[in-house]
Amino acid sequence: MIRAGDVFEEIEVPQDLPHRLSWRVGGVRPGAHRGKLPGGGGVFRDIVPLIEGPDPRRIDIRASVCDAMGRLYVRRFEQQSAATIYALVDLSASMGFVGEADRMRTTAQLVAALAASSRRIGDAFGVLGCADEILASFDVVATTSRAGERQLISDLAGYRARPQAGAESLLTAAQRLAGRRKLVFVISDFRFSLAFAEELFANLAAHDVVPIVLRDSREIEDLPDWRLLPFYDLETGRGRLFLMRPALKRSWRKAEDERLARLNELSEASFGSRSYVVSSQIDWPGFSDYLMTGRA
Amino acid sequence: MIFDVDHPEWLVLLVFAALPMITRGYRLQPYPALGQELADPLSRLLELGLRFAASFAIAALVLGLAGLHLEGGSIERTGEGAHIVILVDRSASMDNSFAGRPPSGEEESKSATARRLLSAFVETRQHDHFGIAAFSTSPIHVLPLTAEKDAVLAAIEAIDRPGLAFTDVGRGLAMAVGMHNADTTPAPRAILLVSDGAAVIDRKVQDQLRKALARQPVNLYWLFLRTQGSKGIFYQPKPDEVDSPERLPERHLHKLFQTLGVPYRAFQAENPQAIADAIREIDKLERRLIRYTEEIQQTDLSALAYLLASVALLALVAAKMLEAPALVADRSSVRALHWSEGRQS
Repeated sequence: MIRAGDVFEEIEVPQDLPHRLSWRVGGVRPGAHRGKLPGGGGVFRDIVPLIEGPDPRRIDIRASVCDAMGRLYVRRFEQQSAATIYALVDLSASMGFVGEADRMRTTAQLVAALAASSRRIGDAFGVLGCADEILASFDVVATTSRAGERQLISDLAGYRARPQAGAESLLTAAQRLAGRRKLVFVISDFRFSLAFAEELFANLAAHDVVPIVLRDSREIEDLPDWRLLPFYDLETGRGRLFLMRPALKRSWRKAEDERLARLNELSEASFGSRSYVVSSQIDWPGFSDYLMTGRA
Repeated sequence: MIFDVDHPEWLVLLVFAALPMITRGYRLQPYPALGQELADPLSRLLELGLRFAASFAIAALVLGLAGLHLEGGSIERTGEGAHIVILVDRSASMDNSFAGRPPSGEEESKSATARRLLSAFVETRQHDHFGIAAFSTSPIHVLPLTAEKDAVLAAIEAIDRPGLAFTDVGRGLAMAVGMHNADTTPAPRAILLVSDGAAVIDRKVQDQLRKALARQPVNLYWLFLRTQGSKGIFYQPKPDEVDSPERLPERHLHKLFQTLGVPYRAFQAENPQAIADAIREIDKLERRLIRYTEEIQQTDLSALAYLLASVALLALVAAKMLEAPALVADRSSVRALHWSEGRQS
């Protein structure tokens, strides 16, 4: 385990989050993912005439001998390319929820882990923190530089959402990501309408998107039975009283399951992969597993 | 039913009853989002109920402080009955039994019988006003026409005090009519004359009576308690007998009443049973339509207000005890915790 952040906010994250991309990265920078460019990598790509691939070190004797016209052929290999990874972080008011886990702290942990692991394999990592608008302090263009990373993560962990802030700028952020295909993590509690999620996913359709849904056991499971619970909605500020009881919990559970199921459906329809649900604490091995194999 | 308060200045505080509608009595805890899918009708109802209970408690306390009460007063009702002046003979002979001698053993004096039966009569009459007058040597104004049963019963209770010698029916009747005149409410009226004897009525008094009765028509009942050996009302003198008011005062008084020009009935009773029958008959006859006013006492409601307020407050206390303690710590305290953890490690 390594530590990111400063003394004020100790964030523990695993050293590496191995992930595999099922698509070829479009960038020119050498990296750790399968790319589109030919180059010096280890994986065989194709055989082309020497004229097309002027690299006499890679002359393929067998292919050249077999050619009736006597042309020389060279083998080409794949260039391992670096990917660009973005974390779209929902900074709406509901992300300020502190239950079993501090939601912003969990977010910071995720961002720290992604930053650390992407840097380790040479990927560029950027963050866009989205409330009503993209916040300047959380607007980090993807780079391989480590500058400001500690500050960013510590700021994220300590961020207090403005009351009743929305997440509308997620759409703007999605538009900002236009261009080459990127790996995009959407870190949010997805406490917005399904229509909004649909629009967001449509804006991100060109990318490889990993929706990470933050949940907390204090939202339903850990609520006390037969108690009066006066809640206020972090998003709207409206207060409401609940008589918490097993039956109500069951109905909330059902509504929550339905919400997650529909989100999953939407994710699969848009990106061909399921969303990942973080319940209170992040299960790092589970998350790695999901990133490596579970998404397909 | 009119509500009223003793100290209206307290009612200013009633504005506080609106407070529970705009504030809450519990500490709200954050929740990510409370969408429509989380709505719970039962909880909603409970919340409304608690708000209402709080409003109600405040309002009830204020009303209790202000001294809420039901205004006393009178309402006019329509029923069956009449205004009756009971005119009782207080001559000494009333203290004798029907046999004409002082009561002995189980015998009852005429006045005692009359008292007993009249009391029963008064008790059964719901909406009547009664006035009591007595007469012997001169008329005695006992009780003006009133609906107060207790006063009437007490007055009747007093009529068997030992009486005086003479029987002045004429002036007694005049007083009874006068009592009716003094009573201004419109009502069917009657005079119940209870006597065991009669007397000659002066011509002048006769004329006065006629005039008075012409102005104020009343039903006249004469309950004659006939003593043994007395001639009685309906006595027909034998041809050789002298038919003069002095000799046969009952017969002549009866004749006089018949000519007064008002509805008149005479009952002659020789024993307590006959009196009871006569009174029952009068009870039947005097069932005319009457408008009467019912007195309502002022009822203090502040105790009730306090009681209801305590019930509402108890419900609120129960809700408060049922309220969950803070589930999630404030963000700032969470941060402090992390900070101290960081220090220790």
